Parts: sequence; structure tokens; C-alpha cells
Amino acid sequence: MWLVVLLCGVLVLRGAERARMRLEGELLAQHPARTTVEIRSPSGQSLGRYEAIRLWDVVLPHVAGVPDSLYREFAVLVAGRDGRRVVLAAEEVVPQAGLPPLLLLRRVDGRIGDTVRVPVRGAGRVGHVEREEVERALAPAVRLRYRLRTELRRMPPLQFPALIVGTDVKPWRWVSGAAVLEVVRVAAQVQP
Amino acid sequence: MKIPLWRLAHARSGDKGDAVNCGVIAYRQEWYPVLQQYLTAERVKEHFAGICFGPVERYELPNLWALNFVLHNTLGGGGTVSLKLDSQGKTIASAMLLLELELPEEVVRQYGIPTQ
Repeated sequence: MWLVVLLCGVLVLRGAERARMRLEGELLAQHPARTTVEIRSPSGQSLGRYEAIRLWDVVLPHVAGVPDSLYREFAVLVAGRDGRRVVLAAEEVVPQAGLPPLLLLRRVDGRIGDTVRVPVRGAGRVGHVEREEVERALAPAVRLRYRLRTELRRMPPLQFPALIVGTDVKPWRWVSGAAVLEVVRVAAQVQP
Repeated sequence: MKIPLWRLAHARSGDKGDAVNCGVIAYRQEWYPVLQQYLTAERVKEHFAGICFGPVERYELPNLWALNFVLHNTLGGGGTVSLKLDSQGKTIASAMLLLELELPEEVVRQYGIPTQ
């Protein structure tokens, strides 16, 4: 846990040790790792379906090549459009974490029935369907169930993309309207 | 004016032996100097009177807008030797956020600190 690192005092490195990106809705909407998630309350009640992406899939390009043993040296910062910022330890974000944080991209309503209709592009080319069209048609299908530990009976109003941290008992680290992601390397330095 | 800490910051905590390590992280950059000035080690020690029996150390992490507190002699020995329900100090962060900062009204206004 990163707090253990902080025990000795820390030095936050600069320059290449810090990566920053804007969380553009359009870019995230095209991200190949996005999926459809059903959010559930701690008691199992469905709170809604969303298209979402694991925060880790956005962080990954910034820590590619870093050995697992070094993850504890990274903190992930997510700031909202209103300037409010929260901090997560990288070890909370990695997929091995039981309930990794998600970025919700949009609400998905409806259910898929027995038949899914997908437009066919190109006259006479039966069977040629665009992958994007298939994905759009199947979007309401839930591929992941995400049972919060957060004490909520209903989802709060959210601006997208929205960060949710399901492991937290209180939604204090949720960010509505997430705008900026930063990955910061935090290295331990014993204080004199 | 008394302002609960949870309006300004979030927190995480954990144990290291008999000590609790508690990070307090400001939600906004402009609130970090307020924490620096008013959330002192002495104030934290006072808040945890009857729980923390050792010294409180404070470390500053300006790049994270965070303060890290180490509360010594807090967990009744810690881990398996402790009879405390929270022998790993996980709930100390929530207890920390209930701390009330005594802030001058002009500071509250100047930094746009929510009062409700």
C-alpha cells in the first residue's frame, strides 16, 4: 500500500516521472477496452447500466514496462472539470484489485431481445457488417457486474466520464465530470 | 468558524505495527495551504486524545496536495496482539475526517470553502 511508502516521507519526482492526459469523452468512447457494466448496490440491487472502462486501461500506457514490484511507487490522480481532485494508489487501480475503479462513459438503457438488427453496409454484400455497428447493438448487454461496497441506494447524478471507486464505503473519491488523469511516481526518501 | 475536515479532503489510513499511517488529501489545490496551516500534528494529537498515546508526526506532500500523519502507539500493540476491533487502523481515516478545523471566516470566504 502506498501509505506504507509514505511512512518514511516521500519525494515526488518531476519531469518524466509524471504523466498527464485529458480524459476526452470522444477518445474514451472509442477505447477498445470499454465494456458494459451493471452497477449493483451492496445488497445486490441494480443501480443502472453503463458503458464503462476500467481506470487501469487508461493508466496502463503510462506505466507500461514497469515491473509489478514498482506499482506501489505510483499514485493516480483524477481531477474533475470543477478542479476537485482525488488520489488513488496504483495498487488500488491494478486489475488484480478486487473491485478496480471504473470510468463510467454513458448510461446504457434497454435490454437486448432475441434478435439484434445490425445494418449491412454496401448493396448486395450480405454478411458484411461493421464491427462498430455490432458493438453498438450489443451495448446494452451486460458483460460485467460491479457490486459496490459503497453505501448507496441509488446512483447520484453523474456527469460523464465519471470515476467510481467501488471499494470505498463512502463515495468521497468519486469524480463526476472527470477531466484530467495524472500518474505520478512517488519514491520513498527517508527524512533526515 | 468550525469546518469538518471532510469538506476539504479525503483520507486513507493503515497500520504499521502499533502506529497508524493516515494520509489526508485536499480535494482542491487552493485548500492545501489551509490544511498546511491549520491541520497541525498538535491538532491531530488533540483530536485523537484517548486513542493515540504516542507522538504524532506530519509529513508534507505538496505534489499530491496531501499531508501524511504517523500516529504512534495507537493500536494497542497492533495486528494480532491488539484487542482493538480495528487493529489495523482502517477506520482512523474516517475518524480523522470528523476533525473540525477552526478557520477564520475570511479564510473560509477567500478559499471558497463550503460551509454546508
